Amino acid sequence: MQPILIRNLKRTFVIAPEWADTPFGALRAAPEIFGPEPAREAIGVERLGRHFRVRTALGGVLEGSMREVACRLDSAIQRQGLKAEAGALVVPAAILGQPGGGRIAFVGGRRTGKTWLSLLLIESGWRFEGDGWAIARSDGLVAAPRTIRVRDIPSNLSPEMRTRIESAPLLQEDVRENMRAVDPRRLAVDWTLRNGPVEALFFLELNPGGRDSVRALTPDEAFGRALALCQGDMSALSAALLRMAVTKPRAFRLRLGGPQRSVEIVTQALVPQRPSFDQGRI
Amino acid sequence: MTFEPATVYKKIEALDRTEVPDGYVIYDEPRQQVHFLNLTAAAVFELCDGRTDLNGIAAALQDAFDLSDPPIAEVEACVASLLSQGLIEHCSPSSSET
Repeated sequence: MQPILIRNLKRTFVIAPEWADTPFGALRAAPEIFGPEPAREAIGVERLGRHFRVRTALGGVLEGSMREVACRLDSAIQRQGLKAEAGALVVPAAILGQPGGGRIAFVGGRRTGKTWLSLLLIESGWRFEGDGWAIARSDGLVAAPRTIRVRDIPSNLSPEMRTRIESAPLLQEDVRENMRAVDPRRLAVDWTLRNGPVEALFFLELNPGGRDSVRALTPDEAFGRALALCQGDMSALSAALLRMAVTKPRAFRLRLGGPQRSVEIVTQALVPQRPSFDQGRI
Repeated sequence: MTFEPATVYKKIEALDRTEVPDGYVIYDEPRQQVHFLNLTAAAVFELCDGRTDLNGIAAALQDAFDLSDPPIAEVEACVASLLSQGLIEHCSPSSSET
């Protein structure tokens, strides 16, 4: 068995391989990331009768049931990864790459459809980078390395994809909902994080049962929306980095009534507008 | 808002600001507000130096942008906006000389 590697952009953690088939295995997140891999830092797991204790390598100790400790460790690692981006702002976003094309960011808070849109786009041949957070850096947006966290599987996903997702490890399991941690490579797609500009941004709004719609946003509207959603150390510099990251690409507001037509709508919006006959006439 | 042409304004010094290709991003930490100034507003903001009055600001913009007339009304509107956002303040000319 392989050790459990958990990467973020600046640190790499490792848990002993004996825990691979437990909820700790669901924390595995090892995409290809630009730059050298940071030194691995061990996270120790101890069994204390029916409970477990984890020394986090982040300066803390977590205790509880195995799944509880795994979930809290997952949150601690995510928080540490974002905190390490001092001086930068982060936005909740999925980043994917068009087949043979540029990177596209889908920005939206919880329950706006980032994950099921990511799954549908992957099924349509898109590359995956992340669907949790994106960090605004001077040269664009970088996805935080995290597996796809799937609560609801879109109804129009193929049976084969559904089966692959359902075989992924469960990170959270309770009476209200289950959450699986899906390594995108399980869905037969590459998982490489890239640095740099995105070609377009979609600000997602879920509109359950309503009509799908897409509307172009001005750069100032895109900046305003990104500011409303961002987290991190606010300063003129970090806000300026965010502005540069979100005002250069084309931006859209994407309101989705459901998953059925989402890929088609995104693809259509990305087709460059051709000048009309009148615009082309001299 | 009515303006006295001789009134001068100065930037609120405590503001954190960074230049971007299309203007300024300003963070007002006490109010936790982010402002974006386009290039024209950034130029007006820079000219709020405690010495240049509205006519002087308009003349500088006329010169910089090669305008036929000084953009007095536009400068007044921009200064009113900067004042209302708390980015500049009134300043008596004598106080800036001390």
